[in-house]
Amino acid sequence: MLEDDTYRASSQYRHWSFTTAQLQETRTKTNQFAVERVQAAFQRVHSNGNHENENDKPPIDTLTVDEELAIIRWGCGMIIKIAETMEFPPPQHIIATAIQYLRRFYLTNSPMTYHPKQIMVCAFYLALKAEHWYVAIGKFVSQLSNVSEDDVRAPEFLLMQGLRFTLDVRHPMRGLEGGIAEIRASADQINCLTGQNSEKIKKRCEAAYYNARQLLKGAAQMTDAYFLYTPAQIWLAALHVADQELARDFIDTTFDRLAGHDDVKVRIQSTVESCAQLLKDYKSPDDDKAVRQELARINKKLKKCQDPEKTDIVGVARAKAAEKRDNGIEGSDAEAEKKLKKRRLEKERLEKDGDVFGPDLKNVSR
Amino acid sequence: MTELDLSKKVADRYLKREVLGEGTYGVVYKAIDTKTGQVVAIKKIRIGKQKEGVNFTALREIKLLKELKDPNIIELIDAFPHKGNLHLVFEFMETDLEAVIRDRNIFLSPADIKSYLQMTLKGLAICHKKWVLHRDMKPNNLLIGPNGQLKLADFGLARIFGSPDRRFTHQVFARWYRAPELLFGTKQYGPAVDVWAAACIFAELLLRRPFLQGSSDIDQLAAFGTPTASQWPDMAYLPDYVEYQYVPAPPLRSLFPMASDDALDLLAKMFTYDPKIRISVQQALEHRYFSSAPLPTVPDKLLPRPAPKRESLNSRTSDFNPPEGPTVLSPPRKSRRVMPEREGFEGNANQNDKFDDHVSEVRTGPGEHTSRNEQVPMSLDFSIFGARPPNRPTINSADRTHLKRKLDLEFQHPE
Repeated sequence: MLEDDTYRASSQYRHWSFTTAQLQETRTKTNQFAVERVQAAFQRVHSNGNHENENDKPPIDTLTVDEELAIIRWGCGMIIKIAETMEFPPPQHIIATAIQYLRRFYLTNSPMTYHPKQIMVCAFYLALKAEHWYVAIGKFVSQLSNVSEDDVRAPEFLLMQGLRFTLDVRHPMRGLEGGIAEIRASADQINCLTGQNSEKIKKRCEAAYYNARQLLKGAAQMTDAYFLYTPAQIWLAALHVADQELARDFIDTTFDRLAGHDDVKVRIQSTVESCAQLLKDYKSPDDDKAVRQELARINKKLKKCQDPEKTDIVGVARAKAAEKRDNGIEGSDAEAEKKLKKRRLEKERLEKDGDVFGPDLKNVSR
Repeated sequence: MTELDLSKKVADRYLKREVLGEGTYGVVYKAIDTKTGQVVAIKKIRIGKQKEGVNFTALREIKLLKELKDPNIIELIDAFPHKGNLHLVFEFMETDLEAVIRDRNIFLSPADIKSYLQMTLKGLAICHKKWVLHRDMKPNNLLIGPNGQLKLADFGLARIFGSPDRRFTHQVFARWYRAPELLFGTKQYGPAVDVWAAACIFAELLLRRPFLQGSSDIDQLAAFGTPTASQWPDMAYLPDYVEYQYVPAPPLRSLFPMASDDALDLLAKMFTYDPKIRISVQQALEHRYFSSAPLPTVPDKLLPRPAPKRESLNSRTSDFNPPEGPTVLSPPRKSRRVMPEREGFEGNANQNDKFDDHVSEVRTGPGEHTSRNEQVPMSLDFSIFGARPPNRPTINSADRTHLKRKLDLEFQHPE
């Protein structure tokens, strides 16, 4: 199947598709690193103050993977809210791109290191740029409260690195539109033959489309659907939740044309159903007081375990720009030689440290 | 690992060598990947003054190249921020097709031409298959690697197509490669625009000079004979359509006396005025031109390329072996190029009028243009042995900004 091959070549499939187990493992790892780093950072901060009771301090109470997920989900919800406040709200798929940027970023970064509130605005603006929806940065921040242009710009490199420079996100929205159009067209054909009331079918399609779209806007963004399923599976699952019979019929008629692939059909049915379950199970925090309370508790906890050395993204970006100015323009041979030597030494030192994850945080501490 | 350490490590991995060129958004360096020993080209993108952060052109290029992995498309190997700038690491390319076409010491056999065109179309086919329009096809965006492989580069103007009713800017491509529908101001177009540009490149390979060298948009159209309503029924509905004095199309055979029948047939199909009838890239690749003798030259080593330029490393040997033989006429700057350089580089005399309001230009008098042409297409105006051809029009940075801000972003704001 040609379409399949195209999807497999996409960065979304190559870098951002996982099994449930892989996803869990990645998140656990990210959480562990962040915990170690946060503990070490607090140790350093304390020991800078007074040297005596350096080891007396109890370890910081850090977030669990599930707590991190709740905070990330909050950031995703905020992206939707930002979009609603904009003068010209961008189309659905661009908002979804921003949300997926945020979700992808937090696969390898912890909210304890960077709070989603620092990253989400940048993710939003990056999505606008990558999806050709131009809004001047001044105009963009003027529509938000308490956000400066620097807040939008400063985390950009950080975010792009977290995204591994893959900026393309494949969405299920257009697939849904196409699927509904196909269902409608075949319904029209049947109506012509049987003389049934086509208004009724049309209304049913419209309702199914509306409900499926809501799921793609909400549940599909807030859950791990994009990591676990392909865009086609996601829109079929949304349709399945909205109107089970329509979704089944669509899969049936598609496979009628491909005789002899019943095993594939069974597999697709079950994948679609498991994705549908995921979408169905999602509950918006807006509807649930308990979820809101839980979120408030986690946020309080996060305030105490936020990496103290990472809170000032804007400051770090400025420092880097300053470093550039200090170093001046590289060019002369002697200077190149010096650089070369420095690099060699650095490399040796890194190897001696034997730490694949680079030296400690000393480079960042100011 | 912290991000700072990560990017520092990545930056340390590459050893910067000489500057290869300077484009609009930054300098291009040659560099060596100390980990693999591979020679690479690093494009440094200046962010400093960019209010909006990483600019659109760079972002587009990164986004699309990450999705387009193919032997005939330039590979974006890596990207890393360093000292407040973004660095893009590309595979190193020796030269470009413009340098090959211009180098008078190079003889291109029909099989060589076929090979270069085939690689161009193969790269384009991958783009179109993945719903990407290149929109800046021209010989100096077709880079040639050490093994003779031709690769499409410079995706700064490229974008995804395929959504219904999405309107694009028509101000894309350097003028000589701009399809007639773009010259008439269409905002809804597709892969056929890249096919037209590829046809211009094909013609340029055959003639060894740019084919349709119009000095203005309307002149560009007149150069190839006036399209008629029977050839292209939808023409009259395009935004900037104007009727102008009829110039009969010269028979292709008269313009390309040396080309084979198959070559001419393919060329005619690629140069079809009506974009709906114009041959697709895939169809072009299946054309009998590519399967008939002589078969395309195998790129590796056999394809003629400009003589390699001596580099700083072996400059000492050149002292003992003063260069002999004919002087290479092509400017050294050009052939040294490995990365697409952009606009503003060539002191382009046409720059000012290039994005003029061509509607008014048209109204001032089609008669003028045609009388100047005297029924002879512009492309025949100067002889091969005459003076230097006029400077190539490119899309300059002002235009790009203009594109970015005004035209290309979905028209979401009512103006």
